[in-house]
Amino acid sequence: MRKLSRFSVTGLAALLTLTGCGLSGGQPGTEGKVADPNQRIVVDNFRAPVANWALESDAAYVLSLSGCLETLTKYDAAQGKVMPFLAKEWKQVSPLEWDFTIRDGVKFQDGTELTAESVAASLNSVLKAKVPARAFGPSTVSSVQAIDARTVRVTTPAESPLVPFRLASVNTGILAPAAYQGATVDPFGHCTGPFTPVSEKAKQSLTLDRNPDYWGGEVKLAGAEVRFITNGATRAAQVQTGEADISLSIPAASLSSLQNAPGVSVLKADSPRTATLYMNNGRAPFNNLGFRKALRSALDLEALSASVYEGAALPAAGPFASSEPWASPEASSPKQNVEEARKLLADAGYSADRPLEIIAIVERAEFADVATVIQDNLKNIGVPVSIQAKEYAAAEPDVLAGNYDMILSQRNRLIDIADPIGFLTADYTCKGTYNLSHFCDDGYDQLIAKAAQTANTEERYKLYAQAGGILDDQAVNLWLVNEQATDAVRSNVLSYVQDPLSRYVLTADTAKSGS
Amino acid sequence: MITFLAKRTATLVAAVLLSSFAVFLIPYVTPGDPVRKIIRSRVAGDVVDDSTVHALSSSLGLQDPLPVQYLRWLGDFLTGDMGLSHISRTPVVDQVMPALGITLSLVLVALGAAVVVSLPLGIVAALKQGGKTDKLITTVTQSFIAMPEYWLAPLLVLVFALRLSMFPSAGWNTASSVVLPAVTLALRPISFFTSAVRAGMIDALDAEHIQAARARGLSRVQTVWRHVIPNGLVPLSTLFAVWFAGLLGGSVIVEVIFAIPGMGRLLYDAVVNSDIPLAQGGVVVVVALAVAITTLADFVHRILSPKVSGALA
Amino acid sequence: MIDRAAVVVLALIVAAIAAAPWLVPFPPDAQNLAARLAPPSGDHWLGTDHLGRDTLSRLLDGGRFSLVVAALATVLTGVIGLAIGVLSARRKGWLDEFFTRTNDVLLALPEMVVALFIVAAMGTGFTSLLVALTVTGWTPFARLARTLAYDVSSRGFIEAARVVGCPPSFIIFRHILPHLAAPMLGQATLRFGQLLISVGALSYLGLGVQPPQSDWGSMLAAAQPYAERAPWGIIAPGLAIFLVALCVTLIGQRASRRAADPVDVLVVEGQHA
Repeated sequence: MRKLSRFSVTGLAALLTLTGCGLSGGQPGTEGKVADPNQRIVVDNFRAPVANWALESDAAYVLSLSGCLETLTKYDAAQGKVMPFLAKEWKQVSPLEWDFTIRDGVKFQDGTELTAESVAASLNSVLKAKVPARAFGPSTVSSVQAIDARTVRVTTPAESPLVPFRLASVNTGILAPAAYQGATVDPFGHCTGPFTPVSEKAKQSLTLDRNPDYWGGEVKLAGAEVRFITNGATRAAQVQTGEADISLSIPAASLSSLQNAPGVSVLKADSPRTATLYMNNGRAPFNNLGFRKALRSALDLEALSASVYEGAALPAAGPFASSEPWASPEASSPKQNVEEARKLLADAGYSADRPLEIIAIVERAEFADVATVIQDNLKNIGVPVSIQAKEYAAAEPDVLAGNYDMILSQRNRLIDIADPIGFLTADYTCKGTYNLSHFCDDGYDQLIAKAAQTANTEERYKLYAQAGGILDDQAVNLWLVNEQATDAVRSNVLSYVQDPLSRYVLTADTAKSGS
Repeated sequence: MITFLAKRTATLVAAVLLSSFAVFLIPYVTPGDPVRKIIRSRVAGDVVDDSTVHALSSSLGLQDPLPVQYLRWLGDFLTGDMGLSHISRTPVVDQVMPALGITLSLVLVALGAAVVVSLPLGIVAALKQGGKTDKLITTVTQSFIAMPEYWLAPLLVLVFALRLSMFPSAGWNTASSVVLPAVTLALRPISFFTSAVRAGMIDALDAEHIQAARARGLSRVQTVWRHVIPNGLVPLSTLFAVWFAGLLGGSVIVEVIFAIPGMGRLLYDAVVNSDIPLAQGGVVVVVALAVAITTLADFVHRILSPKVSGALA
Repeated sequence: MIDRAAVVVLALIVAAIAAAPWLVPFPPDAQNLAARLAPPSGDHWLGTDHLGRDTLSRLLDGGRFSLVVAALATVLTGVIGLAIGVLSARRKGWLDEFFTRTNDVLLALPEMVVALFIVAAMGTGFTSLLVALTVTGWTPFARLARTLAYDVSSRGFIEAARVVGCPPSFIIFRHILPHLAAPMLGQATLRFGQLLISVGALSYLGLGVQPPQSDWGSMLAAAQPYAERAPWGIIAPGLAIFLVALCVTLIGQRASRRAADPVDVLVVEGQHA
């Protein structure tokens, strides 16, 4: 992969994606089955909605995957582009202004028309939220206005080529004006999507029915039930027994039994999540480049991904996943080399005066095991390590203050929009708000500032690759494994397309056959 | 009687105040900023800037000094308003009541099963006191106390749900969802219930009026039915109530393992996430119910057998 | 006969665990990522866990944490409960009232939630587990001590001693406590079993040891996702807890039965954990 040119890599990635070869795709074994339009489907999701459906919170993901909430644009991972959704087209009319033309003939589920007014009202309510969404808040968007019946103008404080990406974030979903009448948002009957919510069992499930007037065509399922099950093993068991038709986010330990189970197929796709060992670059011994490189050479990432993750995650090659269009083709996963590690350690003048501490956050159950394996790897080269399992919230004050050695955490690069600029800025620029590693490099900051202004996607991706190269050369953190999104689907579910971020699960085309 | 009720009411009030205040202290004694925790529970991901933390903090009323916040909660609570959960922003009552209903039904089924099993076992053991059957029953039921729920539950799931597919492995969706959790919960009560029934019956068998009845010519069976068994049931009723109260909050492990959205699970999640209004609402309900139930049980017990009440006071 | 067997089994287990550092076939932390979840074999009598570590070694090593915490908690709760129970029986008056009220309140609080709260406040580990168990666990001892003390106090020779002029502390230590010794010890063995199970429960929920240290509860929790493929991983630690608790319970039941009056048996057996 690294020998091919950048452009071929992108094309190859897209091709691989479409053929479902290790990247997102549809399931095998569904040929010849006929969709039954009277079927209802059960989807097991990994978290319940919060904040009473406030769109600026993660509750928007639940509404989106249920097929209710839709946005102006949609990011198509397979093609690597922003596609029209509720907006037909868009244009940057001036450096700070973008105009979006709203699609005609779309109705909300309560019968009212989708107009520029209603879009602007919806977006403004998210803009003014107390806890603003990452993708769409006052720091990135100044105002939203309907300038005529079918056009919405989004104004930004600084020039940004990423505005269409922002409008693909689920937090910018559009609801009818009637949804905002009360003190809290009411999505029931006010979305535009193929499914309309009819009832909710608090924290347990959401039931939806088909939207017969959906603008995007015929909806192939009669309805759905989305269950909120936080225990991964339970989700896996339910799809295995048939209690659920689709289960999202299967934990690594349950993969092998599902892969052997008849009637179930497991779909895997690269996700933008990488398990990372953050090192406190601002404190000895981590402020020494040689020491950091020594640690990198000591880890056996292949054994780690084969054991703790059972193959459901692949060794990371730097801060990006190699299938991402902005990944550098030269990036490769570090191989374990114990001699080199010991030599680097000696050269760095390290003396094992105190055990170094890894904080393993408990939010990810597997991190305790990952930390244990790392501890073993580092013991091998003579670096004593102790482990503290803690909640992230408990560790956060010390970590932000620079009062820690290492923390094992996980980061979603595309957490706000389908472009890593947010991640690269927050995590690694000198003034970044999430700079856990306390890393600061002027060259890097300049690259990022330039990328933020670059409208041309190709150019921007090249800059990202360069920035990633700096981070890799400096061994700022140890990127361990790129997690894969794993969904399990029963074989009578048709036309299921996996979204690694679990934003789009139920669509108009999702269908189920009778058998 | 009046003093009894008055004392119990005082206990109730004290228990409710104490437990709700203790829960209230949770975010202030646990490390980490409670407001950040709340934000993180709504929006997974990165650091939020201070102005947002500040804004949310004041909108949730978390800026005021502790005593003020607590008194405000207490005032609302006395008018029946348990407030909104920090995380879901839905009324606490709407989450606590359904969860309570679920736990109540689970506990009732479990304890009911325990009674159904332990009554005949206890009676038989008492009638055959000292013999092999008695020893067998006693030893086996005693061993149930030693069985940890967190071992039995996964074993049951492995055998009955995954291998034999007879019952669901988790969740609370169908009627059969209650079987495995109830069996797990019922074991330890069976142990105590059986020995209580047995001991009560043995006492009753020795009692004088039984000798008198036998002397009058009643057959053994009739004696047992009319005089002994009712006396054996008396300690059982108290135990039942005590266990019922205890399991209301004590079913945490079973509910977590079986992913049952009951009261124990609600309390566990609320404490872990520092969702104070929810935790307080839950704890207060559980504590109040527990005191009420044990009071009722004591009351009934005193009416039924004034003799025994002295020892158990 | 059964309790003799129980004593033997218990002694064997405790001895094995005490001798763990010399007895373990493999270092408990030694990973072998190539041989994960291996079934029992000549090398690994109980197989290996999900990181290839020898289950038997981890079982022996982890038993120390569980047993020590449970034993210490039993001693602490026993002493505290005894003191409070006897004092409130002897002093009567407001102390007794206070004790009864507190007891009722504590009975109503769900044990697991209180433990959760304490561990959440103090962080995980040995000390916070000990504190959590002690705070919630002293009431059975106190109730028993109080009832027995009342019972003994009503006997003639206590009154006689008081009349003769023996100081109260002397009466307590020389006359009352010896009568409590046997039933309290019986209760202690019962409580040890229950506390061991509670330690396991808190560890199972992740509130116990830090990795890579093992203890029986966290071993169970870690092995659960792999239960279908490697059932021995959940059988071994659970069986260990069950066996120890069982032996201890059987011994305790017999001991308290032999030592106490019928009324006390009812009282002892009426205590629920």
